[in-house]
Formats: sequence, C-alpha cells, structure tokens
Amino acid sequence: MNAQTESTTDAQSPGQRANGVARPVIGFRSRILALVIGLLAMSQIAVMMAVLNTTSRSVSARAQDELSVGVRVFEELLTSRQQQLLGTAQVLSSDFGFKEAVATEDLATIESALLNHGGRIAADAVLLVSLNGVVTAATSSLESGKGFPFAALLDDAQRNGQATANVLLEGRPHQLVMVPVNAPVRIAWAAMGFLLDDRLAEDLQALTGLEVTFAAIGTDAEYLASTLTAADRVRLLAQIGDWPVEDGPAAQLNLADDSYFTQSTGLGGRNGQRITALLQTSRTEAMAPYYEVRNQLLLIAGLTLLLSLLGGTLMARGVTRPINTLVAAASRIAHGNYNSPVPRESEDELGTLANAFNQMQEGIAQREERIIHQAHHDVLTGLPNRSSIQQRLEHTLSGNRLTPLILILLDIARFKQINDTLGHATGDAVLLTVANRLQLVVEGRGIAARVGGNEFLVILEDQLRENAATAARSLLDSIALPVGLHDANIPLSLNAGIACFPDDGDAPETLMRRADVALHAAKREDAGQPFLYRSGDDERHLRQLQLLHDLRAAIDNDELVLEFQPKTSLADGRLVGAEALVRWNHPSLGRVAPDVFIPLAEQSGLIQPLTHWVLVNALAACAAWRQAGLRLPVAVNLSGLDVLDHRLPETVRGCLAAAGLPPDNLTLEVTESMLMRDAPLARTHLQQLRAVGARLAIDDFGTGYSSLAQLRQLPVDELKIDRSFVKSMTMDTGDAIIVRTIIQLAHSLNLKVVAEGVETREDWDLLREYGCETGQGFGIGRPMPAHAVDAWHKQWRQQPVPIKSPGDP
Amino acid sequence: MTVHSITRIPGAGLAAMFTMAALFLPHAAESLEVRVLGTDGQPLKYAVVSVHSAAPETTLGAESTPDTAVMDQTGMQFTPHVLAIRKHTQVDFPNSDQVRHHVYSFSAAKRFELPLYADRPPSPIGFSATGPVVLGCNIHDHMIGYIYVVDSPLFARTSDDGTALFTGVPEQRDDLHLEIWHPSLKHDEPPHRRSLATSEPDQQLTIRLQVTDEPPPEPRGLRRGNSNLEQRFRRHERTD
Repeated sequence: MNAQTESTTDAQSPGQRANGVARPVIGFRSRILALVIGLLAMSQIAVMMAVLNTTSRSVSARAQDELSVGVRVFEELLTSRQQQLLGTAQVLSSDFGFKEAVATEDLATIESALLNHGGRIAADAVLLVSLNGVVTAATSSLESGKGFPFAALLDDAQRNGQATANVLLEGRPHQLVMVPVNAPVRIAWAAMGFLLDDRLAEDLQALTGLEVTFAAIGTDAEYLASTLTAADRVRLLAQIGDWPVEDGPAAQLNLADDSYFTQSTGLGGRNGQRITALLQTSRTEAMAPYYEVRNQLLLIAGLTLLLSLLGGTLMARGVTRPINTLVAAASRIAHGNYNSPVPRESEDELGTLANAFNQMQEGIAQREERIIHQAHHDVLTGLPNRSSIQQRLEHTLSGNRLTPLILILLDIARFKQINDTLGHATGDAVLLTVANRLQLVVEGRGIAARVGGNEFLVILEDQLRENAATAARSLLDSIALPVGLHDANIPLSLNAGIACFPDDGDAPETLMRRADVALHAAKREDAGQPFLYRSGDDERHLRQLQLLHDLRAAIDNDELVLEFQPKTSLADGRLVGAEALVRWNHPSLGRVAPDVFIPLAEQSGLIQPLTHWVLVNALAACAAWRQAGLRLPVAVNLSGLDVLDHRLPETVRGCLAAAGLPPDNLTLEVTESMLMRDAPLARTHLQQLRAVGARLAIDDFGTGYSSLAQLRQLPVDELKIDRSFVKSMTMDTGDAIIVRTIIQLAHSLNLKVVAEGVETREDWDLLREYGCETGQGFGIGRPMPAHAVDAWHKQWRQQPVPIKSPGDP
Repeated sequence: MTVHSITRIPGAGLAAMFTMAALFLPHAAESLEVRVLGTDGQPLKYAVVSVHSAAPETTLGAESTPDTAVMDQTGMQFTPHVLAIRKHTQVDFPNSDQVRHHVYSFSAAKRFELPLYADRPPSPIGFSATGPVVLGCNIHDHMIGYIYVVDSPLFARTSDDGTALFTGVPEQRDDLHLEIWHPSLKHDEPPHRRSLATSEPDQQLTIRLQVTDEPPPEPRGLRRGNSNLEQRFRRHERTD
C-alpha cells in the first residue's frame, strides 16, 4: 500500500513539474526590476517628452520670432535703403551738370548724363521722365517718348516731391527711386533703379541673419536672387509659384539642402507680376539646440536606466537571494530533509521568515517522526504493527538471505471473554503486559509486533526449524504467566503457530499466512501447544478459500445435486421417506464433501440460498414421485443459522406451495447441538415452522447435551438417533442401553424415533425390538439420485430387510 | 553806395521805381486798373499783366521804358521775386549778400550763367526773347526768381493788393488784350489772355487765375531758425 502510494506520487510529480515548466514563470527579481525600470522609464519618457515637446515648441517659436523680427529688420533695412537711395538720387539730380545736361533737351547728351551719373551711384537703371509722364530717356529697355509705365509712382512723386517703389524692369525687380530735377523749378523727374540682386541679399543676410531671397513671379518674370545654395534655389523656384500672394505666417519649406522656416513679404508688383522677398531661417540650425537637449536627455535617460538597472539588480538580488535560500530550504523540507537549518542572513522580515522556517522544519520533523512511528507502531503497546513488521520482513527477506528465521504467531486464548467479562481496560492491560513480556523475551534475538486485536508476531533470527518448537515453547512459557491486575490474577493461555524460513516459504506473505494457518490449527486443537506449520495445510486453507468463492456460482449454476437416502419402517420394511442430501460436483476439484462446504456456506452467509435450493429441489423430486404414484415425504436438513432465520417459515411455505405439496410431505431436520445454541429463539421459530405444517425432527440426537426440559418444550415430531450409537449398539451394551433409553424417552414424549446408521440385519432387528419406528442407513439404502429411487424401491420391496451381515464393509 | 542803400531797403526801391515810371509816363487819356485774384479769391502779387495789340501799327504809349533793370540778390533771395521787363531790357544781377552766388537760367527765353561772383557781375544781361526766365542759384537751391519778358510797353507786376494800374491805354481797345502770367502757371502753359474789347474806360478789371501766390522758398537748413547747423554758423559769425 505504501509502495503503491509512493509510486503514484512519483508518477505524478514529473507531470506537475512539466506543468510548472509549461507555464511561463516570471521571477520575483524580474518583476521588481520590471516595476522599477518600468516606472523609471515611464517617468523618463514622460519628462523627456514634456521637455522635448516644450523645447521643440519653444525653439520653433523662437525661431519664428527671430524670423519675424528678422523680417521687420529686413523691411526696415529695405526702407532705409530706399531712403538712402532717395537721398543719393536727390543729390545726383541736384548736380548742376546733370541739370544742365537735362536742360539742354539734347537726347544724346541727356542719355550720356544719365549713364554717367547713374554710374556714380551704381544704379542699375536710370530714367528721365518729363513732368507730364513721358519717358524722355532711359538706360533700360523702356523706350523714349512712351509713357512712364509706373503711373502710381509718378503720382506719388508728384504729390510728395519724390517717391520710391519696387518695380520690375525687364522682368527683374528693382528698387526705383524717383526724384525731381529742379532747374531751379522742377523740369523733369529722374528715376533710378537698383536691382534686388544676390549682393543685396547677401548684405541683408549679414544684417538679419536670415536667408534672403528676392523673387519675381508671374508672367514673363522668373527671377531669383538669393543667398540660398544652387540646389535650394532650384527647389525653391519649383515651389515658389504656389506661394501665397498675401504675406502669410511663417511656414516650413523643404528645400534640397535644408528645411526652412519661411516668411514672405510682398515688395510690390503689378499686372500679375509680383515681387516677393522670402526670408528664411534654417530649421536645422534653429533646431540645433533642441537636438542638443534631446541628445543630452537621451544620454541622461540611458545612463539613469542603466544605473537603476544595475542598482535594481543588486537590490533585487539582495531580496531574492535570501528568498532563493528559503525556497531551497522549503524544497529540501518537502523532500523530507529536516536536518539542515536555514541560515539567517539578515535581521529583517526575511530573517524572521528564516527563523519561522527553522521552527516549521523542527515541527514538521517531530510530527513526521510521530506520524511515522504511529504508522509503524501499535498505539497501545508501542510494538511495530502489521504493516511495519511486514515491511521489515520484506526488507529482511529481500536479497539472498541465507540465515533462517522463524515466525511465531501468537494469540491470547479466550481474549474475547476477558474483554467481555472484565472490560476493555483490563483487555488492554493484558495486551500491554503480553507486549512487554514479548519485548523482554525477544530482546536481542528478534522482533515482536502486534499484528491484530490479540495477535502478536514474533520473528526470531537464526533459528532453525528443528529448534522452532522448542523456541516457541520456551517463549510461551515466559509469556503465558497469569497477569496480575487489581489484586486479581488473570490466567493467560496462548496459542502459537510457527512458520519457518526458508522451509515454509520465502515470501513474507506466504510465511505470515502459513504461521496463521498453523495458529488456526493450534486453536482448533486447543492443546496449548505451539503448532508448526504442516506442509499442505496452507493448500487446504487456500482450497477452502476457493471453494468459498466458487460456492455461490455452484448454487446458481446447478453444480449441486441432491441425493436421497430412503427411510423405512422397521416394523414392516415399508418405505416411509427419504432424506435429501446435497452434493457438490466441483468442475475442477471433483466431489466436495458436505461437511466441507456446508460449514463454508454457514461462515460466508451462503447457507440461506443453499437451504432454499435444497428445499426447492427436494420438494420438486417429491412432487415428481408423487406424480409417479410414489408417496414419499422428503426430509431436509436445516442449518442452525436457518433455524435462527425468522424468514424461514415463510420460505418453507412458499416452497411447498410452489411444489403443490401438502405440508406433511416435508420433514425438517435440525441438529440437536444447533437447537441448543439459542434454545428460546429456536423454539419460537420451530413453532412457526410447525404451524406451516411441516414435520420437525431432531437430528443426531444424543450428541448435543440437551436437557429433557428443553426437549420437552421443543415442538418436534421425531428424534433421529445418531449413528455413532447405532453403529456399536450390537457390540456395546452401553450403547444399546442408550439407544433403548432414547427410544423409550422419545416414546414417553410422544415422539417417533428414527435410527440412523442401520447397516445390518442385527441392527434392524434390535431396533425393531426396542420399538424404534423407522430406520435409515447403508444397510437399507445408500443416498441415491432421485431417478434411482424408483428402481431401488422395486428391489427393496422384494426383500424389505437389510441383507448385509456384520463385518461387511 | 546809393544802390547799396536802395537794395538794402527793397520796399523803398520799388516805390521809387514806380514813382519814377509814373513820372515818366505821359498822362494818357485813359487809365486801366487790373486786379488779379487767385483761386482762393486773394489778390495775387506775383502776377505780371501786360497789354498787347493785335494790330502791329497800334502804338501803345511811350517808348521811354528804362533800358536796365535790377534783379538783386539779398538775404539769399532774388529780389524782387518776380521781375517784369520789356524785351531787350538789360538786367543787372548785383549780389548784395556776403556770400557768392552762382546765378543761372536754363529757361528757353534766356539761358545764361553767372558763375560764382560777389558784388556785381562784369556786365548786365540782355533779354531779347519773351517769356518766363526762371532764375536759380547753383549754390543755394532754394533761391528761385522769375524774370518775365514781355514785348509791350504796357506791363506791370501786380502790387500787394493784386492791382496793376495802366495809363495811356488807347481808347480804341477792340484790338487790345491783356496777358496775365504768374509763376505758378504750369510748365509751358501760356499766359492767361483777356481781351479788352468790351472793357469800359476807367474801369477796374478783375481777373481770376487758377493759381495762388507762393512765397519765395526759404533756405532749407534755416527753415526752423534754430537748427544745429544754423547755430553753428551763428557761433562762427560771433567769433568773427
């Protein structure tokens, strides 16, 4: 049983382990680390995102602020340049020589003066416009004699005495300043144009810090002056057509080399052409501080995470190492090792836990020891118990043991009586005394165990079978002394059965069973002597066990048969009845004697179905004979257990009814000894059977010590004298007197008498002489199958007396 | 010296001139008073009014107009601001200022140049063509003066109350007309013309022009009177 449990546990644990492996397990340390690092990373990310976001916005906003400041500066610069150009132009137009040239009205002179004076102030274009708005002379492609195309500028100049505007000359943007030529009153307008070119853009870039681009957009105008790189210019040209006309807020413009915050400011234009200045600041440069901050933050975050990972790992290890120690300790304890104390590594909670572990370990060790002890020892006596001794025996016999052993199985005779009459406390005291004595006796020679209620097993080492009886005898002598309790001496008697290794077997079960068989034999003999196991007893015992098992099947499978032994009237030899006797033809064991299987049936509770079977079949045979014209009542033997069964009368009534027979066709025979076991109950049930109508007979009369008083009260119809008296009646006058007395006694009680064991003519005659009514025995007829009765009867009627003489076998 | 004294008191010189003219003119049978008003109805004092005849044989008054006129420069201004002369009159350009002037004209009626000079140029300048001559100084841009050359003995610049008084205007006036010129007339614009055919003797004619008088421009740097530049110059004068 133990071994089985262990093997089951072993079989399960790999599965559990497999389950444990299959489920992903995140260690405590990993969880601590994950928590710490996770929280840190989250906060880092949050801080970083917040800072970066703010920085990005701030940098971007500042870049755009700088851009718009730059734009204002740019516009201011451009205006101031206009003023400067205006002043310059005015100085020029006030030059006497210039005025003089203009006043000549000679075109060639005027043109040369324009070129010359325009050159002085590095103008890119010079025009002379008459007061009524006609171009007098021009260095650009504007044709002389035609109207001045910039009417608004002229109006402005006429109103304010001077004017400036950004205009497209030959598709290129110019700052055009218009100043009067006074000689000394105004005689003409001089207009001077200054190209918005790369150099100007560069100058303005130096002042504003912005990329500056002048662009002319629109019909027939595609001009770009810029500080941008060539590649960026190409990209810008491609996109500039989409640029909004209105001055918009700063936008981001992606060019070839860089991305720019861009703001445009319109400088003028007309007729679908416009001049725009694009002011740009490099996004990359603007964002440089942002990237710097970002990189620093990333570095800080990375370092922080790394450090906290290190720190967290160290801390987690500090926590998990003692836990792992505890886990290892728990695992060790789980495997039953309680001897290694858990080291207490710290004074904190884990240290306390380690202490608790140690206490738990000690507690478990103590309890386990106690449990193991209880599992292996009898609580009352402290001796090893059955399973323990069996294990030890197994252990002892495992391997190739060469030295002999003897097993002595003892039981205290009539222990139940002691218990019943003197109380369980006394019974326990007796058991304890026996145990103590056994322990003293076997000390050093073997081992004693309590293997049952009042059974003890003693194993003695190195004892040969030859000495077994002697050893057991001396053992019994030492033990079977009266037990002194409460001033009373309780006499002690012990039965002992002995089995020896290796002579009586080499398996523990075999040896123990055979010791048991020997003990039963000793108890049967009740001789107070130890019994050595006799070879073969065990087989008988086993056979009984098998029969017991097979009997039920036999009843169901009709392996049982009935035989009938005739009963005849001694007066005239007439056939008056037949006793039904059950026989068992076992399929493999052959014929099994009734005195073997009927006690088995009684022990195993099969007697009721057996009796029922006999009743049914006997009555069926009776009914068959009756139908064949032979009136032959049948007698059926009842077991004592049947008599005690209150359902029997009803069963009998049912069987009679089933067979369709009057009740007087059935005689129920009960042995005298059975009736005496529980006489009052038996009497009650017999009266009920009598009420059913069946005849009752007392079987084997003379062996059961029944008193006359009891006999007188039993509601029976006849007595059957036991064959042991009849058999020797003719040779033993004592027996003859008993037989005659019984017959007389029965007659005086109004009972008929049946003599069993009638074998010879002498028996017959003597019994008839004594007045016995009926005889039964081999001399009359052996038990026979139902179908043979008729043939026997025919033969018997020809000579209705026993023909056998004394001395016949 | 006398000239100096006269030029220093322009009002007195002018009055003397008119007095002299009145004295030299014969007492004509008829006189004519013309009053010139500006756009705003205010009298114009810089207008030049002249009487012309369509018939060349008609004689207009005496031939005894003076041969020379004077365009003085004083206080950094041409004085008078507007000078009306008859054709072929010689005009002297004395410089009464202590600084030199460079008087020039690029006008079609007379182009000339008097390079930087002090006191008095070597000779007066004759004006043989009619029409306006705008005078400037190459040193002082603000100095603007006008000489209007007419081809008629009967001409006058309006007085402060905008009137010009003519005597000796023939009674037969059908062929006569007035020409009124003013510096504010637009460039190349011909003078205003008004027939005298319907006019009555001794009648005052009122003529309205679409211009207004503009005072001679002030020197640019001195306009506010106390500029740093001016103060610096004044300091310089005191130390002298």
